[in-house]
Amino acid sequence: MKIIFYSVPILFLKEGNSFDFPVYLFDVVRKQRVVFIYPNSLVSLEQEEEAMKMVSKGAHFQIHHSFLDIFIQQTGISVDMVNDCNRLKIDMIDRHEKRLMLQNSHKKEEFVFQEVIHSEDNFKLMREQIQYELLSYPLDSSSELNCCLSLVEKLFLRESKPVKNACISYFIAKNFGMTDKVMLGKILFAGLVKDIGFAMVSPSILSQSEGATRKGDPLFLKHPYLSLFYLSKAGVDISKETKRLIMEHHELCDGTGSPRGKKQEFTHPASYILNLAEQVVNYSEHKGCSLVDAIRLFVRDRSQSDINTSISPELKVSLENLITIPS
Amino acid sequence: MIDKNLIFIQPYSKKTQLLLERVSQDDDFMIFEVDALNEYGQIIGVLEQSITVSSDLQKTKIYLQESSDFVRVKDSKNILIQDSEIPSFLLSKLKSSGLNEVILEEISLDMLMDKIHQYFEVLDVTNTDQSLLIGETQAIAENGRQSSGADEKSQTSTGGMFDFNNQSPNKSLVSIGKNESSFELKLNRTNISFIHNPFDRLQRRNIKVFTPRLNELDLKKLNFNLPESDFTKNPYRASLKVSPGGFSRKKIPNIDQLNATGAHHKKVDFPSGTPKRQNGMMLPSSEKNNKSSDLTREDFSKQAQETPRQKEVGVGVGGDFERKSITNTDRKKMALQPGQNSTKADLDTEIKKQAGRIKSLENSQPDQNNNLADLHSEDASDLFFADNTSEKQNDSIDASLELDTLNRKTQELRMLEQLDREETEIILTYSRNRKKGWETELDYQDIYKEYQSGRAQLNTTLAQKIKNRNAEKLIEDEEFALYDYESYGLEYFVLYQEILEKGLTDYRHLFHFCYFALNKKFKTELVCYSKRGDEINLLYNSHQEDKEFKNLETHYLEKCKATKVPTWADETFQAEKNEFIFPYSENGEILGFAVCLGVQGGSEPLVAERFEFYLSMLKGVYCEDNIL
Repeated sequence: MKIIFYSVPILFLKEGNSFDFPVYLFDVVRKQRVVFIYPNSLVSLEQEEEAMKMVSKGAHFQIHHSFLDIFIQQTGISVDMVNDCNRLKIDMIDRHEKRLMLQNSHKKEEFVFQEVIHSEDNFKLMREQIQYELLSYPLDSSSELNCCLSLVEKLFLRESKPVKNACISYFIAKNFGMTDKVMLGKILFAGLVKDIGFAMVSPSILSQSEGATRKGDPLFLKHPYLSLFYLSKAGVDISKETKRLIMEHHELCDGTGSPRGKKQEFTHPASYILNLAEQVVNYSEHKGCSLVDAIRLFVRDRSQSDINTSISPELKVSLENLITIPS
Repeated sequence: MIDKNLIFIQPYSKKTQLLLERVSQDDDFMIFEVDALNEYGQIIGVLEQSITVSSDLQKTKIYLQESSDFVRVKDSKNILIQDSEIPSFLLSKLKSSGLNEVILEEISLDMLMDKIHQYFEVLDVTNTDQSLLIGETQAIAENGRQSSGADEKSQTSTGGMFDFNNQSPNKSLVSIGKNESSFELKLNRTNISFIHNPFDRLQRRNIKVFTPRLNELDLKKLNFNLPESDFTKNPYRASLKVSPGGFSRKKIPNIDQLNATGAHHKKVDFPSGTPKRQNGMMLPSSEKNNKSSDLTREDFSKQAQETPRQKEVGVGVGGDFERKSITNTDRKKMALQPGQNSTKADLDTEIKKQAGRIKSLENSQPDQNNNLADLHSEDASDLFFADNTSEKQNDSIDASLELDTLNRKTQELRMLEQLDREETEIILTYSRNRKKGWETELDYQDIYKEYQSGRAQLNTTLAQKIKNRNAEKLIEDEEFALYDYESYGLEYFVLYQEILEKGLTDYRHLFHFCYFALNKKFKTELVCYSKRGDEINLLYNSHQEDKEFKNLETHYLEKCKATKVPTWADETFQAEKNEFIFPYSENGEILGFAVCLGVQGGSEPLVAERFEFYLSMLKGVYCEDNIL
């Protein structure tokens, strides 16, 4: 990550001046850059006035990083002033470098999920591992991933149900063969925020145990819609894939899921991972059993009142590898 | 009776004038006198039948061409009255344009009048025939109608053809009655006399025969032959012989061969191949000069190949460029051939010698003129155009040749002086890049780097061009995308969800959590009311101990009653401490209010959206029946 074009103040653009470097004009809205002043060309009065107009409209004047030294030399503008104009970029680069440094300083031992899931502090280890792995995630890929990384920083300090759901879905996806960091980030983000729509549901309905009343409540069944409503209000730029994951995280293969009753061919495969993770966590917390036992129900395909094993068959096949410790 | 139209085109000849006077006495004729051909074009299109009389050949040609569509109509006759007969080729041309007859001036006036009368009579007859024929067809149609046995009633029905209710079952019979149609037959100008004419076969043939008129251009095209003789003259076709009488192209001698002393040189040839003469006469040469300066064309061509070409960097030139930074020593080596040691000093002396020779030759010009007469013979041409093997060439030299060599040597001297400069120059040799083809973009960044490092030096305009291009090229450099590292308040919702999942009975914890989130972000106080019918009850107050608030409690209650939508006390967001009232509604019914007090100044509309987002967290609580 490196700054290619430095935003600069327009104090140096005076009539009659000429410089050995080109000055670029960057339109923030259209995200386009053009040459405003060519090297060794005199700045005219019209150009000076136009520059003022452009700045008032929100455009940035920039110079290429290769001309930074010449710019400081010829214009007399200090490095601090240039850094102030590029504060956001510099902060972003600093944060990224700090994260990488932190990751390098804390060299972790090899993490084997099959061993961790059998341990008592399984969620704690999972949280730490996820926090460690996310340090190497790029900060310039998407705003969604940045939001996810900041959420993880704030939420993974304590164990909550959404955090558990997110942890298990992350590692299931990884063991399933998913390596794309952006996709893993989406699954993590969806696992954290998929049920925030419960804020619109009456607390009395939510406090009821897993029964017909809860499942029959129309608002409860539509909570994916409500979650997306809240996300839209938050102002986060969410990808279509993430929205799909959130919408379909209660869908089942046989079409008996909610809210739309989609079948397998129309459902995103990663949404079954979220579904599986939520059911495993709920079952283990409700029944007081371990995660491994909850996963074994899916492996043996034993549906109960609290568990519906109608998830993707490919996922069920690979679940056994999730709980068997490699020799 | 038809109109008898006569058009006279000025200028008139004697016969035409007489004809005009004769015809004007007859009232049957309608006379049109036309001076400009524009008027003729306007008249001829309107008249149905007419005779155009003209005496001017040029005007006839023009009007026949311009009004060809109208002129060729059968009812329009065109007569040209001339003194003498016109050539046959011209006659055929005019006839193909539409001219009917060429009449000589010698003809009598009576005969001319007869012709005119006869023409109009024929036209009159044909018209009457047509009208008769139309009448016959009408009678046939009426007979047919009567024989079909159609009732008058059906014919006189009000609906007529379009009365589908009263239509007869036999739809093939279409009754045309007087009441239904007001169609009147008009005289048709089409000549249908051939239908019952015993000579109809001939008529049909006449109609069918089509004689296309060949354009003059087409005729030219037919006679067009490729100028093959011109092709043989093309000097750039290798397959063709390019050998003017007695002339053979010879290679230009090499520069070092020019400089070499003691070498046996043959005659001096001009690089261009054209002989040069001073005052139109050949000048003799001395034997000494021959030895030093006689060169063959071959030597010149070698020179052209081996001297380096220095070109400036061009834009859009195809192919890869081989850039060489050549040192001074290399240049000198290239300038000089191995085996020769000519230096700058040698060149200077040679130039001086040549200059001296030329002066001597010029001074002795009058004596040489007598000798020049001998040179005017064919042998003189042989001196310049014959092969190298001829012995006469060795002895011939021209002062003008001396001048050329002198010029060449001064140029070389200048070259060497330039080479002595400390600067190095980019020498770009063009080579075709076979992989990419003819067009290849220059890597301006690469060139600019070389320029910056000082390895290359270009002239100012070119350097500026390269700088500008480089500046435009740099725009393509991609930069990383800038994103905020922000959670947008979603962490509060996740924690709120956790609180809900635990199953709290006291909803004041939820209000407190919402106040905690708002205060952390915006440093504001929160007051929540519920509304059931007209009754408004306080649910939560973040600064309950504040006495000021108690005094204002009724004030806020009244405000809430009047509020139905989220409202800010200061919509312009300029007040230091702003207030925000957010009503909660379900199915059109307001369930309660949340009031944010003491919002820090400088709130923008975007921040107002954040307030709504945080406060919407409590929606589920307000939906509870037993909230109190």
